[in-house]
Amino acid sequence: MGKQMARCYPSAALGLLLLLTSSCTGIVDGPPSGSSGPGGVGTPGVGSPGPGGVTDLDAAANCQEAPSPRLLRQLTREEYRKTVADLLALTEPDVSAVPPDATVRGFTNNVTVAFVTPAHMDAFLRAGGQLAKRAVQESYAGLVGCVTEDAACAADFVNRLGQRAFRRPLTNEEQSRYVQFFDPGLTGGDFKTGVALAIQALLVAPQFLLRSELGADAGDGRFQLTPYELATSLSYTLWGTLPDNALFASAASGALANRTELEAQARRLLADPRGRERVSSFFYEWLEVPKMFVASKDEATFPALAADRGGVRPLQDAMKAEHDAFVTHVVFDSTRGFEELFTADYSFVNDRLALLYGLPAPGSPEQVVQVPLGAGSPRGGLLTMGALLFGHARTTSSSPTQRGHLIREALLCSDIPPPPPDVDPNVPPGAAGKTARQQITNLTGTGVCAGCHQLMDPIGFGLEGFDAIGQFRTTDNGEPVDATGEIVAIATPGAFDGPRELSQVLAASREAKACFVTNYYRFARGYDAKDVDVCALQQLQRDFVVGQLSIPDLFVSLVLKDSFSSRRSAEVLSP
Amino acid sequence: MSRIIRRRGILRGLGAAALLAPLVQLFGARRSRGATAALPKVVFFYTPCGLQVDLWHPEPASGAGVVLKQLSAPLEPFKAQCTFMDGVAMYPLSDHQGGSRQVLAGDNQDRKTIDVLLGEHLQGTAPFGSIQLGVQSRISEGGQNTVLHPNISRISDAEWIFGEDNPIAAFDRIFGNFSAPSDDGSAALLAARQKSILDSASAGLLSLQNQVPPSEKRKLESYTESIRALERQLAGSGLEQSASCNPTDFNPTGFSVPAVTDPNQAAYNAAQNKEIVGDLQMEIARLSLACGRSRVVTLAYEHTNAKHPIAGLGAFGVHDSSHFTAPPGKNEGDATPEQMDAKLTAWNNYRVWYAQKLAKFLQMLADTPDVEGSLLDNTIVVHCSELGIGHRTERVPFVFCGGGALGFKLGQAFDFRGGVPAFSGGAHDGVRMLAHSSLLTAVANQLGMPLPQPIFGYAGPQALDPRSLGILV
Repeated sequence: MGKQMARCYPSAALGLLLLLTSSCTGIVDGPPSGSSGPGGVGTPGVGSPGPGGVTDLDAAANCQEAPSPRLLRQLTREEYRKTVADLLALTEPDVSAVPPDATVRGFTNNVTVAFVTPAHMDAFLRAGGQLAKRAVQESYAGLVGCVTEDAACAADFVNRLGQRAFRRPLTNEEQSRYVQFFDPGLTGGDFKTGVALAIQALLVAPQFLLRSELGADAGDGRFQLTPYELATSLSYTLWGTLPDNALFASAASGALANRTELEAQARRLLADPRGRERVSSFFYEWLEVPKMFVASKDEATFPALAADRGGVRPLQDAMKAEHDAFVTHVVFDSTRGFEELFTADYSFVNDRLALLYGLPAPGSPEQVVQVPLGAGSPRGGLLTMGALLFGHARTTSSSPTQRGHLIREALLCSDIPPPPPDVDPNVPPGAAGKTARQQITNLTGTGVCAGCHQLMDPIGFGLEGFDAIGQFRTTDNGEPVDATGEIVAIATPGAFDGPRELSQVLAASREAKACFVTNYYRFARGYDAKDVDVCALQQLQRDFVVGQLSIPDLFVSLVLKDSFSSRRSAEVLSP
Repeated sequence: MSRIIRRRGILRGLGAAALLAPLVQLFGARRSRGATAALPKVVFFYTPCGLQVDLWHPEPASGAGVVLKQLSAPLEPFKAQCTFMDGVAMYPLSDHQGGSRQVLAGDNQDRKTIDVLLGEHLQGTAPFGSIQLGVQSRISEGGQNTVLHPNISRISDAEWIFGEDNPIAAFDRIFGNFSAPSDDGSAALLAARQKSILDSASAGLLSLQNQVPPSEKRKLESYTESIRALERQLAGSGLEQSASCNPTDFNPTGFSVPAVTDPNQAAYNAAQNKEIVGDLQMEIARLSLACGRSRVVTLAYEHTNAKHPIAGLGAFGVHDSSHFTAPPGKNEGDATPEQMDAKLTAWNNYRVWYAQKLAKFLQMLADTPDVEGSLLDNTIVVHCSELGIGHRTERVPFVFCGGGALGFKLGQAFDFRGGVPAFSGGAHDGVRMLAHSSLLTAVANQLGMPLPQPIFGYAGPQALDPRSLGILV
């Protein structure tokens, strides 16, 4: 576009900019006075957190955990895919017709933005029809446990499949409702048609698409999740799909009400391959990894991408595989601690990624395998992975702002106000300075933009040793790279030199650890923590930050909280 | 959705329509339609990324005095049936994303967009309220699952309407029947099954109603409304019988969408298929109006961050080329004069191409007889973009075409710059351009849609009474 837009100069949109500046200045100076709730219970000296950010860890000892809101949680497209695959014993079900999920902070399961729109309904109906057809062709014997093909057989089928689809036993009314699909008036007398129709009907039922966290009335305005609701919440939190037979059995027998049983089930689910996959999904969404797949890159600048033409993205696929393998290794197979996420001296690469990273090829063209990074390597930990660097950069150059923004918001839970609407997001042609660092400093280092940019850019400078696609570099546009930076507005602000030191700062940061808890809470609960969540969040943060819980223990702790299973009616949530 | 539309399938659908007549009564009373009067219709025709405004906007004039410019020249055959409007701004935001957000909402507020509202108002007996179609309107650098730009059509900020980019699926949805698990039954049987399935979902919703707290009611309402929408489609399976409604001729070249795991790789998202997909979507839009499937269509050519080039027009997409001061393939950095020239040429080529598509669509409507006059006479086509000049939502290329029978005064060119008080503060500080909310209001007024406020959307001093603009008879 023609470059007629505002830059970061005081003359442009002054009122709004001053407002923004003061809001970011507020962060620098400390939390705003009079704030309360999880968005404002700041530790002195700690940056003002975003909603559900860092809370007061010392208050955790005395607070009273409160029930959380009663919710209906719509299946995300990924949850739908996994659920129908498990429910109907189908491999790779086609769910491409289902609209993509709206995201909040990268998370696809936010309850405040999930609705069954007409396009959803149409897609669920169509996809349900196709899936039902496939299920009858491929899974009939497994789904229909009888061969008599009579009324009793139909009722048995409806009961068994319905219980798994609704994740609880059907009511009598529901049983009648779905048995009606075997009416010869609808099936023409063909039993398999009845099976298909019942499946399709179950797949568009609100009891299937909206999983219940409503609970049963326990008096005094409180509600308690039923054993089946609890089992369902557990399996969707830890697996992203419906409970298996063992978990259903635990719910049916009432055993799940027992805390020891609940913990045992949680640990069993977490250790399952589905649990590992779910954990990598959490990191994937939290760290905005999907941006990597939509980032525009210039092949002339980066010949390494040339082979990626035609929509095939082996480099990004390898980066995702590295990311997934790394986080699950840390969480399940190694120290299981937060620090290692940032300080690891190894990673997982295939030959293609090794070439990009300047590592010896491991002799594995497809699969990523664990390799040592070697002493003095600039890499180590999440921040230095292509999965984060590639998507948080520009077409041709790095972006200290985008990378700093990710770290400030997603890793430190401090929200940065959006830029004024007419600020050109591109560094303009002819901007003073040769390196990306010089250019962004000249544009935003002083004046009204600095209020917010000082919270992001100096963090992002630490990753200036990596170009727009994540390759290591020592020069930028012919000038030596300067990867020194600093983190301000945290409890222990400080300077660092290079990505490893930046990673060390984050690994040791109370804010970063607490923020990790906050983000897992968002992921598990499907919304940003609200006032009612403060105490549960404080306690989890205290246990993780001070009590040195491992990451798997944190995940288990969350589902053992009273607030995971108790509910109350609440105001309408906002994103 | 991979199947090729087969004539046999269409005919079966039409047969279903005939057999469905009794079923229609099950879905409530249908509003009776005037015996002879053609129903008003509207199409929002979106093209992305603004343009070189001085190569588009004609000087103020009327009739034969309107002289189109290089980029608007393809509309020459419809000059007498279009009104070009310079000096229109969209307030208060002023960038790609803000423009996308505001263009059909009137401003940046959380509200139902005007196409959806008009769809509800005009639906009558039509099975669909509004229909949203796209030509590669979601694909972003190979990733349509990550939506980086606001949808121009929305029910609310949380309820987005994704335009259907797959013309085969769109046609199937609008003219076919739902996919039933077994399609070997008769049409009436299929319809009965579909009704039963929707009824069971409704019963499920009903049983939930008393269990959910007030905070969750909206989810059930949305669900219920979605079921009602499908029921209306089922009830409206009957195509209006007229010579203009000829869906069996759809897709004569047999464009198909083979199944793929990754929708980003689907045929309708391939750069080389942009032309055919656009042609098919325009035909679906025309047919939807001709067959009474809906009175409101939004057709979006690409989106604010469109990537794919168009063969023969330029080596890079419209978004890249609009960043003409940067080298090819880049949004930043200094282009050489030659590079800048190449980008501008490509950008202008794209703009001419979009104008050709609009002209083609107008011709399709003009060639389609309606109850009275042609579809073009009874359809107001609103051309819009999310941007105008530079990176800003100013001098946005709004054009009204058609709708002569609806009271729109055509064959004119206006320049509204300077005719309103200056906007104060924000991104448009000092700008004196007409608010586009006035134009959306004009459409709402002419189509008889009641508005809670006199102006739809931004109602500051830059929003004028549409009757004062000279664009209405």
